[in-house]
Amino acid sequence: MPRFPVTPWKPYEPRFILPTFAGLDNRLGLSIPVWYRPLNLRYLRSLVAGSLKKNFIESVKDLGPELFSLASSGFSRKLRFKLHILSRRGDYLTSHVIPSAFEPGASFDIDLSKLLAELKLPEDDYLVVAVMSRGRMDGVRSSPASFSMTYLDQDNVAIYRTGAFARPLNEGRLKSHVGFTGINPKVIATQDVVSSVLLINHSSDPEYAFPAHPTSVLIREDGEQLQGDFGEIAPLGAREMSVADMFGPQVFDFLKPFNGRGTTVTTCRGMTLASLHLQRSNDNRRTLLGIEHSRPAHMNLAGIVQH
Amino acid sequence: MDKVDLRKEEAALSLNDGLVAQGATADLGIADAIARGYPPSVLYLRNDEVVETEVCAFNYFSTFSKDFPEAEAHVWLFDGAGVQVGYYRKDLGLNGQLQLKTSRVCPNVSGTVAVTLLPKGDAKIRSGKRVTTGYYAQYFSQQGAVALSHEREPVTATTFPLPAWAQTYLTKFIEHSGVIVVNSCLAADGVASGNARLVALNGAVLAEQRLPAIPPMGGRRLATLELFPEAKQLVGSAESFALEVSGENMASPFSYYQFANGKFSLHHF
Repeated sequence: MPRFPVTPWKPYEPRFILPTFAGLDNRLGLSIPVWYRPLNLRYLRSLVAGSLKKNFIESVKDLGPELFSLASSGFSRKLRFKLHILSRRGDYLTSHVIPSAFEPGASFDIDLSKLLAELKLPEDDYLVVAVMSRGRMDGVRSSPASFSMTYLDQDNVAIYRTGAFARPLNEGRLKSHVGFTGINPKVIATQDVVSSVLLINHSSDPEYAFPAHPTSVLIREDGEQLQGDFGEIAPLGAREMSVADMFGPQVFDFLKPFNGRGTTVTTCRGMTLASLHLQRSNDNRRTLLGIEHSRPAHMNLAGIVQH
Repeated sequence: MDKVDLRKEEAALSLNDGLVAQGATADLGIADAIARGYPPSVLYLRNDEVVETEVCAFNYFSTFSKDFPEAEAHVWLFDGAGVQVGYYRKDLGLNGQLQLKTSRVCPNVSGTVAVTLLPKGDAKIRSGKRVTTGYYAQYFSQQGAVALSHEREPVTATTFPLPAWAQTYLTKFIEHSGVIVVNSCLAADGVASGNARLVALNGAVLAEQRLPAIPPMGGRRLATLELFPEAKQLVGSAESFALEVSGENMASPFSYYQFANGKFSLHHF
């Protein structure tokens, strides 16, 4: 039985998964730049160049539906959005299509907490797959700007922003991954603040069925390390683990000589994961102080010749 | 250039924070880093009575490169007018890491911070490529909030345009909100300039204002109501609004909220 009742996204539709947190006001937004065009000369050139690398049949198969959709919209610059709500275990719950279309210069902005309540979902932590109708026609169909995820409690605002993409992820027939390495040098374990890592086992395949089992190592300034098990992340699910969850209550004493600071390096072979770093008050995850997505550090070495 | 002597500072940091500054060699100029193909990446710097900035990095060369397991971290700090007010350097061995409270280097200075990680050894850069740096900043409010940011654009030696970028804000926090503009251009004629627009969610432009000029490597925090004193009336009852920034020689802007209790939150557009 398929996970989604209908096709949740087309291969060319940019998307990404974001978490919501119970007890916080969760918001999602995107301001579409005034200069956005789905197709311009630069992208057209890269499309043609990409197509020439494949055979004609493959190119038509890949590009046909997208170009047909663009043409049938009258080459509209307006963007549409839909949201699929999943449990943190990756189970599909419901979907919501935003009724309006948004033109360049306009902003899509939605109160997710209000939406979840309107969808009669009980207060809980969820995942939202945000899908947009099209992006820029570059190699990964990137969103023309960053989505903004805003989490509010009574007197604190935590925000992270990232793009949406239509690219093969954890879909073996399209792309194989060496593995995931997520580095968080912002780790804090003190009386006041405890860091968490939230990993999302994402995929471009709606029927993705492989759980992830990452492991993590906590490294302090003098090189001493603690090994930790991240636990299982369900396909299209997510899991948040604090450094106390991963490395036990001794983590506070372990990092104490270094002002409670350290770095986690989290790895998972053969698959890629989305990664968020959270700073929380040391109050059993009631307060989210700060959040940020991680960046793939290996990309910073791409310019160096290695043997 | 008003430059802090960091040899003493590093010694103090080593004693107080356990940070290792052994084996530090000659300082590296920011222009030299760019010329060598390792342009530092910029972020907003804020050290005052409300917020302190910490930069955090890990020697990812030791994770991903057998050829170059050791690295050196260079941190340059500039005030709002783009004057370099501090420099810090640390050697990072295998699994080495940097968690630098920049207020220890330049207290009471706000502007920009730029960081480069350089591999040690004879690393060759691919033709036509450059090696960018990944790092993070933590902005600690005295009242307990922590805002996180990954690095932004690399510093450039030549001028460049900034296309229009916009982000949404919550109207209920309009008087606490604003935009931070950072100049990431090192060129002598690389003054950052441009426009800010107050925009309704449907895309209607409610007001437009010229941004103040920002010298190379400078940075400035501008409140929404400072830019648009009539913003509350213009936005009206809408739940959200957007600010759009465009111009030249600016890294992508940051939005911020700063509440009366001192809690500070920022993030890039």
